[in-house]
Amino acid sequence: MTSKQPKVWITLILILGFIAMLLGAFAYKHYKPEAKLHELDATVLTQSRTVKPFTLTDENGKPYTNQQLKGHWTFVYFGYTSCPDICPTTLAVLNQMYGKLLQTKTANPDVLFVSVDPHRDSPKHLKEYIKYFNGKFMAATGSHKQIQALTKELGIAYRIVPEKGKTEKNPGDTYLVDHSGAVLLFNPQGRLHAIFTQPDNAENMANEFLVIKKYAEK
Amino acid sequence: MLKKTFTILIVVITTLFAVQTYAAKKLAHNVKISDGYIRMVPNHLRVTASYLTINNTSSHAIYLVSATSPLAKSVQLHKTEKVNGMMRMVQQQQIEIPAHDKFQFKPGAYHVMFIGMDKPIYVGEIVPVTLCFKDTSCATVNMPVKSDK
Repeated sequence: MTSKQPKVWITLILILGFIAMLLGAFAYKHYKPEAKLHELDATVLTQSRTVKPFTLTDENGKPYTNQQLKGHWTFVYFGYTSCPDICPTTLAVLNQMYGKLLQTKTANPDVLFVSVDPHRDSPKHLKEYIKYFNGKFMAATGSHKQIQALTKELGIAYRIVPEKGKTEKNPGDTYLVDHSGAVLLFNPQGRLHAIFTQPDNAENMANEFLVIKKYAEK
Repeated sequence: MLKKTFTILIVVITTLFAVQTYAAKKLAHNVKISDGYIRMVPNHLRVTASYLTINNTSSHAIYLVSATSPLAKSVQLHKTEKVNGMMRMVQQQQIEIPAHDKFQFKPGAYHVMFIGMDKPIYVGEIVPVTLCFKDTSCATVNMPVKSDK
């Protein structure tokens, strides 16, 4: 009996050890560490940036200034309505992202489309355009001088591409506009917080927004 | 004798002409166009794009050179590219679909651009789009208007 007891103990220890190993392996496999900011696709600024005062006109003809960026997160995308491919693609992604955020308990961010083509995009025209994508989305524009006060500050570039044989001053009716494809994220203090340089995946953007927000609120 | 020669001549000319028109019209059996659609846009807009897939199972490359449609005055082949952080659309004179390859037109990349539509489009509406290739073959595809927002 006494000679057999250590053997029983050893067996028990071995079995317990094996179970612990299995549990450890299981925990290791299923443990998901929270995404780190630097691992995101979005570029999160190490320090959010203030934006100099700017004044645009929104889709209802009312001023849209720095004040309108405050009190909520805001996604801002620059484009133009006569843009056949990338603008509707990005606005569709933002609409899908918005839908995914609606399913969470997060307060919904604002989404603002800034037209860099004021010649063709009147506020009325912009309203019809933006509400097609989402009734909650907003749009704004201004003179090129007003727009550039904001874009230069944010590192957003755009350029009118005239029709063949036309000039930038008289570009024709169907000119195109090259423009930055990025989506900018402003925090509730109205400061530039993060940049989505490749805004093509709604689910990823929604998830990353939640991570960015969580870190900012820590 | 003269009559016979004349008849033969007529037959030869007609056959040649028939072969010629056939080649000018019909797409090779091993080139398939699928999944084509026109993107729905707000009613007041006069531009849109369409996306499609061309599957070339033949043993040589084919080249898409033009598209036309009653939908718009101008229909162009374009590619959206990112250049120095800016999204730029570059008109394509031809698009190569390599042998034994599938070529996808998709949002944010290659697309068929419709400029100057003279009326609004509606979801479910069917729009014919004729695609022509370098070898002069053409195919008319009926594309539905779809919302992808």
